[in-house]
Amino acid sequence: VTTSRRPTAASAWRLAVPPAVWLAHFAAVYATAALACGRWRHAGVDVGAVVLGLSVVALAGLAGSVDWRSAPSGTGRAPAAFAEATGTDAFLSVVHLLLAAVSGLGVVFVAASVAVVGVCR
Amino acid sequence: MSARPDLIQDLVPASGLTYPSSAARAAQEARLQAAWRIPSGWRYWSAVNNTVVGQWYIVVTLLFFLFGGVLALLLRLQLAVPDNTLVAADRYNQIFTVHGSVMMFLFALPIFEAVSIALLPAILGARELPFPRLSAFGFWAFAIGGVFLCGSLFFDAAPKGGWFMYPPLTSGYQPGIGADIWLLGFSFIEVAAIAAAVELIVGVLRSRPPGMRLHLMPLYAWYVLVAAGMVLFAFPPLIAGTMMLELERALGWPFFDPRGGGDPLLWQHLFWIFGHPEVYVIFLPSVALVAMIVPTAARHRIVGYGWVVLAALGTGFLSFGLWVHHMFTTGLPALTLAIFSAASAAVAVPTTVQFMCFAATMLAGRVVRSVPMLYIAGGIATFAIGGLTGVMVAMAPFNLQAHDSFFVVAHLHTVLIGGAVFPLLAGLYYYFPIVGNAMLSERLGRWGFWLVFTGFNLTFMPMHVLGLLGMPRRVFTYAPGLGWETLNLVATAGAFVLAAGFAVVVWDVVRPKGADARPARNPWGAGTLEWLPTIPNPSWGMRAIPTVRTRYPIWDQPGLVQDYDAGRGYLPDAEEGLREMLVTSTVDAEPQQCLRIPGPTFITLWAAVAVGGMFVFATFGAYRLAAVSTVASLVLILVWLWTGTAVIPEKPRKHVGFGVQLPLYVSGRDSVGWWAMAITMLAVFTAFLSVVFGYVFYWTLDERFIAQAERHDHGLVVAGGALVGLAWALTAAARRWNAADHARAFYAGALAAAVCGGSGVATLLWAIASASVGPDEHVYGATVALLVVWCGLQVGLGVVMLLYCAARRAAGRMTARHDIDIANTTLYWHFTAATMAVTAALVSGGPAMG
Repeated sequence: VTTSRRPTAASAWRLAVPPAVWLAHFAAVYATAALACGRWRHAGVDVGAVVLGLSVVALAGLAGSVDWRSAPSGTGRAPAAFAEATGTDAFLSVVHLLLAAVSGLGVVFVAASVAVVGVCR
Repeated sequence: MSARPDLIQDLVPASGLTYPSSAARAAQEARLQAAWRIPSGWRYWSAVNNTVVGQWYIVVTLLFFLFGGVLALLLRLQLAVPDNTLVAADRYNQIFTVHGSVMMFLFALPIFEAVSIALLPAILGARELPFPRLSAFGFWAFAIGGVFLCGSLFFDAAPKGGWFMYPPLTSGYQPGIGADIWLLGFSFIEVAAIAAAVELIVGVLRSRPPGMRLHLMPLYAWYVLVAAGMVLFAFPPLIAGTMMLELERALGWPFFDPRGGGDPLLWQHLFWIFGHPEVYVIFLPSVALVAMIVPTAARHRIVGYGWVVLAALGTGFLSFGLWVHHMFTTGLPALTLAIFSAASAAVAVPTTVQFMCFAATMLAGRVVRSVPMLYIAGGIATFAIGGLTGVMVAMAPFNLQAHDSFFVVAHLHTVLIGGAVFPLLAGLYYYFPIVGNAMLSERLGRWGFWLVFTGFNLTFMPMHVLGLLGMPRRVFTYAPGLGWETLNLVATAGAFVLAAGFAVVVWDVVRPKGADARPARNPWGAGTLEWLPTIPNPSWGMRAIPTVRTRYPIWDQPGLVQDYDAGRGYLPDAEEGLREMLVTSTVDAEPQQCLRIPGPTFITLWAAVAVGGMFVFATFGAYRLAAVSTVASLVLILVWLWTGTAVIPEKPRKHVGFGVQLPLYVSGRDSVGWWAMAITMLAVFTAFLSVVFGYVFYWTLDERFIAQAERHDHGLVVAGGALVGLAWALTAAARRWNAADHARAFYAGALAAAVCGGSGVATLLWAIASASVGPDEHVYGATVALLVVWCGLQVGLGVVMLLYCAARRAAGRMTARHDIDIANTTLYWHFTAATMAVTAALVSGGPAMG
């Protein structure tokens, strides 16, 4: 009677990964900005390079979290995977893919803002 | 990967089953009635049925809403003409503070929990939520805290620092008890909110009907899951912040006072890490109502179900990256402003996706006109305007101009009234047949809508212009000749039109309704399970638990209603006269347990009174009475747990129907109690991490913070931590010894763990008493003291739990197999050990970070 060991349950828990990657990236960029403009303001930190590095890692993490084998091959298949007749697994893998996409959007937005406004003042 | 297509077939009753005879059915129904009976007379107030508690919760929340509305009218009257003397400045400050606080903490947020407690079980085809007494406790705590806060206004003692209570205004500059009422009163209400969130999350994940797999769940349940999950991570930072501010006010610990190395900006961070997600906690459950009403009105299943789920999840997490946009004018680095500005724009994407799906559903179907749809149309239009002004204020340059002006007042009311109040009014009209057993009037409904909609626009549209003309918010009056007179007068007139609209709605709800208002069953022709029961519905919730195969079972599953009425489903009977519900697995909703839940009791009310006494007495500085209340709370809660939880059943398993036998007692990772403990501790741990955030925040500011660490001796904290670690290991061992039925080893382990924990607490207290940097001397000392006291309190509670487990086993209420108590206590200790480890590492390793 235990579901926690079932593969579907595991893929449900994995839905938390893309938001967590986004959150970690966001917190790291925020901390970088706080330090570079705070107590390390005289250390000459290259914020742009640090944020670029963090963003590459985050995007790689997001891409890595997606199970590409079970993800749909084309966007045209998303509606089918959302249908009621499909299994929970297909549904979860598409939601996972799209969550990773939204998280990636968040990462790119934040990184782009640093590229545009790269100064403390 | 296999989708287990066999699963659904497993759950469908074998064909050829006949309906039970009418006599057998009547006997079943009589037993169910008896088990689920709502007490009568004065004992009515001991009820814990979700329908009753939900009703109380909704009524009280709406009363607070009306109270907040009357305060708003007073504010508008004062601002109607320049140089007005109707309300004096200090009284005005109190009124706007209470108005904002009431609307946010006593209406917008709790209405989500109130509505969900009332409706969620029915939407999920469940009889109840898994912890009915917890819901009742949360309600009483909320009601007591709310009355306390509102009452302060009548004694000229109300808080007056704005609903976000920025220090130093609310610390050094505001003596008296107003700010303490806010801080302690809301801590109490936040506890109630987290209790409800735990209940709702476990409810969504574990009480769905068989077959309702995650991707078949009604959208309402998805939204509740997201919003309640957000409460778990958004409220704890505020709880940590209110503790810090109250410690500064009461004991002089300088968390927000630069003279002691503190920083008032930390309050703003903690407040808005709570405050911004909170906007979405208010907004998402209201959208959830839209997601239920639109398919019914359009006669068409929701278009883009998966996209809506995705959008709800996406909005939920992105909203945690926006908080600094409330702080754009505080002088933060431009880089920080840019990051938060970008994140604030990003959240508009998932927010919009939801509304596109609703529009697509309306286009795909044929919309039947009704009052709920009127409110939804008005709400979407209004929210779109609020969303767009939101993107405007998310842009730092515009924000610098609009900040603290009436533009922001206009923006936030447009978002919240469009995004939350209009959908809630739609929900009121839509769900009134279920909650109030009558239809509301179509004619009054239209009058109400047009008055509310016109009044709203008359009130708030001019405020946008007023803000752009430079009128600041929170001023009690203004001089003539600034060009603000006409717009203010129009806004005040609009406020009264709005109030008239609400008066019509209230009249529609309370007026005596004739027999013609008696609704037919499923009056709107909806497809989801909450419309399955008859109206009025007997107190049993669900006659029998149906098996679900689609997202709209009433539309798609022929024979569902007849089967339901015949009691052909799971748990159609209450053979033992006990309240029972079905617990199913998280993802696939396979039946796992027949959960027995407790019935009516006054102990939740007394426990809420005692916990309330703790906060109320502390507000007035009556610390001795507060201590008495604390002890009383502890005793009452222990009695409640001892008598009402983890009851060993008379038999291990039970037939629940269709030849399925389920266990009556489940412990460990599959039990609902374990889940509730895990979720609660996640919230507690988040609150603790918020204090850690404070430590790191001070550390990033400059070198002076950590310089204090060098004259601090951390040996005692590490020693205390080692003792706590030992207690944790012994607790885990005691659990295993209990499971192996080594009674003596269990008692020895549990008691040794309690002794280690107790000595750990003593060592930690000693560490604070002998600290070379006192907590009232410098913020370093204050932060370390708070972290260490936090650990001490948590360990102390863990010791009580260990002793409780030993007593349970001695009394025969816990055995080797029936081990819920020690299993949950062990889980609690895992979190406690993590808390202690982080504290010890931070305190002893911090100085090394230089």
